[in-house]
Amino acid sequence: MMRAQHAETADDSTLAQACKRGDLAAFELLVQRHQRMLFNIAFRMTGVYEDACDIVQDSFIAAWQKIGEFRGESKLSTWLTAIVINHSRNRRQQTRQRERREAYSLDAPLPAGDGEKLPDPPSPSPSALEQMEEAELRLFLTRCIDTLTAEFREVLVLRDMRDLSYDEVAEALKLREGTVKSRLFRAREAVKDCLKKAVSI
Amino acid sequence: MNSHAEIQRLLPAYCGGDLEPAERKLVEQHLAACPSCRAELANLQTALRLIRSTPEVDPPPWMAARIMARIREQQTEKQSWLRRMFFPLHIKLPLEVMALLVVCVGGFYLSRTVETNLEQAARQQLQEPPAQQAPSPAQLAARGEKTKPTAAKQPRSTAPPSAIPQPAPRGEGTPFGTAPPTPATPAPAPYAPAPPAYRDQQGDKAEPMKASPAGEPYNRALEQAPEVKSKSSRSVERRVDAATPAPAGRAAGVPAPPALPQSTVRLSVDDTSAAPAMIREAVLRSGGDILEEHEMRGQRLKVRIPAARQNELLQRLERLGRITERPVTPPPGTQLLELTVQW
Repeated sequence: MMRAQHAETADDSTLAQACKRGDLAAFELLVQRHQRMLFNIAFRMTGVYEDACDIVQDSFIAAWQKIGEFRGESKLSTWLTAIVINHSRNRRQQTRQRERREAYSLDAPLPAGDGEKLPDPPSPSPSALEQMEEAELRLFLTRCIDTLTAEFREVLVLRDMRDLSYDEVAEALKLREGTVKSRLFRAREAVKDCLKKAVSI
Repeated sequence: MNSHAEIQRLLPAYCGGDLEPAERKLVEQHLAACPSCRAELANLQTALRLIRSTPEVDPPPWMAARIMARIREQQTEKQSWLRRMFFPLHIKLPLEVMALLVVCVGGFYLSRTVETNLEQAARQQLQEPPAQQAPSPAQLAARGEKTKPTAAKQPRSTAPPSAIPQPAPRGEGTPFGTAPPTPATPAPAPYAPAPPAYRDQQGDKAEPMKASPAGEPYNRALEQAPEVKSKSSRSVERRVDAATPAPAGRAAGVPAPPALPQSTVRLSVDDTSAAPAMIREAVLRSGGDILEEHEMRGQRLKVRIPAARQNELLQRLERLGRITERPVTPPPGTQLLELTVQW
């Protein structure tokens, strides 16, 4: 096993090359460098802290195993992001299947959303959202983002939350930039509508 | 493009600063005149501000260490798996090839050594005749006795029928056939037991040579190389002297002078499994050498002992079992004699 000393400042592509030669120390640097960003993506995608932990671990392990597939055409962070997004999708599907199986369990809490019938009419006054408490708004926001379908949530999390460029988002999601934009705008609209409904209860 | 609905559709892009300047201008113009769009924009801006200001969450502090630990664990698992998978390919295969090579090379050198031994034996025999030229009548008689059963055995030998016509050219072509003083060519049908008187040294040698019990490989080699022919036939003949066919290597390797008086001791023992070792010891204690052991049959030992100590050996053998056939008393003046111990 090759073990080289890498400067903290070594760039991602250099470290990725070292990883291809089996350099675990280089990979460790990459983990330390990107874990926070990837963890936050995973957390915002799933909304569950423990799930995000699992996703990031699994993603890094997958990244180590298939580092040879990283061609350097995109940034390493984008490549890693794509892996995390994929793992997040899978995790969410599994969770949903589990929830469906457990839906008839007497012990299980009632599924969220059933109790809250959100009224349809728009808010009475303009900029009603601005009058809400920030903390309350955040709670609603989290719920609203959770109601988005995966493809809308992905663009919103990557572009508006994590501030990736359109290029990077398109690359990570394997979408055209136009698709990313149209999804993003619809996602913003959906979140706004969801918040408005939540506020006007 | 100016319609209220279309402008509203642009608001999510506008609030994020994602519009081209031309579109932005259109939206701004509409907003100035449309309070409901302004309200929608305010809501969008709030939502977007919230989204963008979503606080970062700290990953658990053990995350990186955990990831690396899992990768290292996998790495060792993979290595052991690789070892299991590839060691047969990388190590065992060469071992097999090596073993094959060793066998081939070993076999080659073994055959070379045997040939060399045969050659040496041939030279020795060429030099020996003067010392052996006057065998005593008793010796001749003994030898005659010995060779008769041998001749009777020959049809059982491994030599194929094709080997039979070969003797004539072989006998003539070899230096051996011409060197001895006595007439070199005995009867062309030497399979019948020869009368003892007929068996001078030359006959002794030439006869079995024709009756060659040598296997096929020898015959092939002989056809190709006349010199080897004589060598191997001599080794063959020595085997005949020994009264039983023995492995070629051993027969060639033992430089036994063929002219020693020979006789047989027959022994009846109770414990046949322990007998060989005990007999061997008796022979060695009596100052004898083991010449040949017939492992295949296991009940026959050819030894050479000083003639003076033959009785000593017999006494020892008597302690092991009952002697059913006593050997011929050696003629006076005999130094060494060959004895076949059977049990």
